[in-house]
Amino acid sequence: MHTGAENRPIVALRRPLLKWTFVAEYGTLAAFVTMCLVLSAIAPGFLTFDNILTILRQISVLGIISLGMTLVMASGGIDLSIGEALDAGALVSISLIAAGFGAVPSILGGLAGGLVIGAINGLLVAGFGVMPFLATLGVHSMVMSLEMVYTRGGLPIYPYGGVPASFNFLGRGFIGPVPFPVVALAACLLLFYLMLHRLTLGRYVYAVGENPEASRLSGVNVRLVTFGSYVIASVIAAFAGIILASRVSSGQPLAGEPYLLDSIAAVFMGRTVSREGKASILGSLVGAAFLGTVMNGMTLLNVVFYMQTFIKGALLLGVLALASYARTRRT
Amino acid sequence: MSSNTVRGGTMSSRKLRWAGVRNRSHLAVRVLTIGLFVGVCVLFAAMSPIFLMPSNLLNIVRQTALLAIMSFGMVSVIIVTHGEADMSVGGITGLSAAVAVVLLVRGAPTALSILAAIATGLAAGLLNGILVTKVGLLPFLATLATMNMAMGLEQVLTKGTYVPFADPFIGFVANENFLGVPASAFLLLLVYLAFYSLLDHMPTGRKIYAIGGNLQAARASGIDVAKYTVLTFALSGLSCGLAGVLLVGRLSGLTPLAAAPLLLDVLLAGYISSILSSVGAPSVSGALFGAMLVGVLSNGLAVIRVPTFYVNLVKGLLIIIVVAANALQRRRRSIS
Amino acid sequence: MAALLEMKGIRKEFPGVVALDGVDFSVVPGEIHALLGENGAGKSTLIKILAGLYTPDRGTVVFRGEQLNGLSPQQVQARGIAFIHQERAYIPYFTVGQTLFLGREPSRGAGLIDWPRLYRKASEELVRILGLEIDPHAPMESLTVSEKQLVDITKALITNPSLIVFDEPTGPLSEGEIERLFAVIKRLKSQGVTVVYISHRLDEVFQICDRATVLKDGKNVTTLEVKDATPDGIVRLMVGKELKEKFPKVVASIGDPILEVSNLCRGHVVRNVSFKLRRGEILGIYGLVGAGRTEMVRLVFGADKKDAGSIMVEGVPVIINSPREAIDQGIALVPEDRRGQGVIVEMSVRDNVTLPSLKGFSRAGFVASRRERAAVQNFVKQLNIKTPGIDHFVKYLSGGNQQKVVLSKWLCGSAKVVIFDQPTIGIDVGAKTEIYRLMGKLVSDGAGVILVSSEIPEVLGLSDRILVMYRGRITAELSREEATPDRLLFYAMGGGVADVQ
Repeated sequence: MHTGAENRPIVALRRPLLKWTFVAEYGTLAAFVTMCLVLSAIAPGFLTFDNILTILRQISVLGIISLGMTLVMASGGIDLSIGEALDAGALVSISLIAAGFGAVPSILGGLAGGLVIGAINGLLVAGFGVMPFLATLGVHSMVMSLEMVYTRGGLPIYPYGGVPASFNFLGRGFIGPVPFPVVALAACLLLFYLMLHRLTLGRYVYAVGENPEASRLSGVNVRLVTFGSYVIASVIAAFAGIILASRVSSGQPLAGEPYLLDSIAAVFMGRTVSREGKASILGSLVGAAFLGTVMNGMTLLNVVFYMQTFIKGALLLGVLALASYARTRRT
Repeated sequence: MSSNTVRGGTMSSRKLRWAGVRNRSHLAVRVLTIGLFVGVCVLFAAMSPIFLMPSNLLNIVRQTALLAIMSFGMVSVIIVTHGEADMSVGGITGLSAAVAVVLLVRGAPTALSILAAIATGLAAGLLNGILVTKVGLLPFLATLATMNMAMGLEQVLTKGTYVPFADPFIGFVANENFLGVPASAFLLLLVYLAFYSLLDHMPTGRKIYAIGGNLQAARASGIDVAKYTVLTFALSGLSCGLAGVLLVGRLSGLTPLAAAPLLLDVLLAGYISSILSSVGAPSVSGALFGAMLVGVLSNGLAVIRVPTFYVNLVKGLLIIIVVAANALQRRRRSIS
Repeated sequence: MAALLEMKGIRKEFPGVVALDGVDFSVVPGEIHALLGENGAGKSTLIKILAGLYTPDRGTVVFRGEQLNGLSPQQVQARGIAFIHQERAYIPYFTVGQTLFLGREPSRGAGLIDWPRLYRKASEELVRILGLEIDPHAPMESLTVSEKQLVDITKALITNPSLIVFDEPTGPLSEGEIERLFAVIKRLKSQGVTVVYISHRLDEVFQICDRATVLKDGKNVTTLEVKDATPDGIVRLMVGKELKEKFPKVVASIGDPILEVSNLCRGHVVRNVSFKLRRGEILGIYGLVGAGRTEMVRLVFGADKKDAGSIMVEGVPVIINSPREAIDQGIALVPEDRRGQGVIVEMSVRDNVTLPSLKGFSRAGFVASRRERAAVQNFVKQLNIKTPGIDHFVKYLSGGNQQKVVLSKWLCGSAKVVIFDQPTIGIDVGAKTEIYRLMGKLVSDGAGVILVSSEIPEVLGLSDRILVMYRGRITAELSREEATPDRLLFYAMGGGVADVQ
């Protein structure tokens, strides 16, 4: 029934409450700036060139994954297996390196690992109609156990024959003064920005995310768009995994798990930045930067790891609540 | 004309009602699931003499009790949210256990510690409910956030390491026999009866089912949707609080995040209940069966010495099959 | 006599529409009072205000001397007013008994429900109130539409309300069922229950109602004694102006068949439907709720899967299994559920308008922004869409302007066949007329239009030819000259059909 929607006074041109509009649109940015100022005051070494570089490096992997999550969430879904797609990229590529393959086939192999995971997610959600969180949760748990089986209970994979320099470059190289992962993030950012905000595909993604039935009746291939979102998200996550593997020169099982919640949090923080509360590429970047800086600050301040989990959880909850509340107040 | 259609409705429902079966494909799902249950039992019995030994069967009951109690809360949430889930069950159970064990270590009386654990579960469940109804978050997102907070808090309380404490009473309930039967079986029976009465035989249960069945219809019938949604999440939290106490007994203390993997088992039990149900929404009794199936599977695979990661693999695969089957059933229903 | 219900000076405004403008509505005890008016006259808004679903901007509602303003729907119902809505939501997996007693289950102590007593009482009430022999154990989803409604009516009557509002209750019912319903209403009246009866079927009003209040464009026209009135007189009061003025009929030259549909089938809902649509023609499709009109046009558009049937466009057989394929053949659908299926409310006017034809506004996958904006701007001007800008979200527009956005979507893709499914529901009069004019423009430009409508004046006023549907079949084809309100209703209610099964 539509009574609920019609019942609410939909004010066409009247200005909404200024205060909540401000919180909704600039709250996250303001909090980010404030936090940076506070950290530079209390955390020694926060505002140094080296540390900023460290933050940027840390953000690069999270940022790339958040781009994939942004795509999936814009299409109306969620991907709880995105951390495992990262692992797939890392483990497959490093295994291929260990088996003596060159950098290019190893990278392609890693990306293919992500592709398979994305395709399973896409099939379950778009083909069978499983709720996204359930489908990807199932894939999450299955791939996680596969990883444990593959790594004999969680032993990292080391390429004892050494790593080709070109593969090494992905995680450790520099272009001028800028670390390659940061360049990769910038490139992915541009790619996803074009995809979501300039290409027809992006228009379809948002349309499907908002109203699949109306999109279908407008001739949009809803299943294909949904399927594609999951595949692209997993492939980009696998790419992030390859960068991570290159940085640590090994394949660490379950390395992707912590990125799941962080990427969801980044997208949601990003939604508070966008005017209409939608997932957006630039918003998610702000979210990822926010989270990366928080993590960095906590490390600098020697917060114990279990406190960090708690603080991150509280932060996510706070942002979710604030975003929802600000949006309900605005309409 | 009209008399025809009226009679038609009567006949079809009578013919099928004796077995609680909707249609042929639903019958097939039931036969398959129950067949699977019997099949794995036979398989395990054939592969290991230990499986059918009384001590092991009692052990299965003990293991299942914890899982089943959590599953009852989970099905309540699946019912009221029309298929969404409470992702925080593992987190809340762990947090409740941490509260209990920390209090016990500090010398608090057993009763107080148990109450505090249950109250913690209840509070976390209420938080979920408020996030969903008042703040308007999607259930799985709200509970995911709660899960993370609870896990963080659990680690803060336990300082990230195993906290040993053997409380005689809690240990007795969790591990010992009473009248030749595991004491936890009595607890399970009690909790089952409470949930079964509430959901299947009380007006409150009707309201919870109505909200999940059709939100608009429930509103139109004057049901306070927010109130009963909060209540359901609170119930789930409450059952997790209870499970947390049992967990302390089973582990004689608490290993942080020991409860986290239970989420998958509980989800599995809940969605098995969904696909078994004759009405398209899960039931408490179905969850009991689902928990038993998962319990037998976990125990049997361990008894025949399958490594843990393969067990998880089987469970992961199973959950994908179960949720896909559930989705297909739903789609079929919405088309017909 | 003192009024049982007194609504005075009710005003309700929605963005862009004044739904009610100072309406008075007064019901005396024991009468059956008809509330009449065309779609959009304000009937349902008035009833929703009575039900506590809407808050009026101005005016008072007094029931049995008590002011009802500001009460919740539950509080209103607790004071003895029951509502039978047109389409009531139900819980698919509840049994009939569980549905009837939801929220008032009989108890056997300790808070437990007494199931045997519930089902026994359910059987009794079903027989007592409407003489129904439905198995109370049957799940709601296994019942037919009319059975569901009868259960719904029974449920409302169990509480013994003193005022019952029926909102077009006979739509999905067969004649036998309607007679049974009327018998019930008359019995209720003899028991002193007061009834407000909303309908647009005049024969029903003359059969059972004592008085009638006529609304038009959100204002009172009159309240009269039914026995002093004539059907023609009431129609004139409802419609007001002459038909010609209200429905600007454009007579276009009718050409070759542009769409030919043969033997379209889907389950019991659409049975063996065949018809032709010609260039420059407006083909009206009339039928009662549940006759299968929406389902039929959705099959033509590829929105649902058809069991059988073939479609030809401009004489060429085409395969249509999805909306995309229909759109590529130049077929467009303006769906009934505008907010749910027509537009994407959380997107801008621009995004909505170009969604079906976005490929035409792109180069190498990139959206050609300037060209797109120019095209959308052009439609906004041409169709007179009232929006502050093309980047404004559709949710902020009024119903009429949203409908124009849907139309722009299809005009932008230059459709050859446009199917309108109840295009003017919930749209104010001004916007209605504009949409009619656009239909006229479509046919004079050589397109074919299919108009599905429940409003007889609309169908009669605009169509060149009218098909009438009854239970999934086309039961009559009438030319513009042959068609009269009586004949449409006659065929729509199953008249002239020999084998009903």
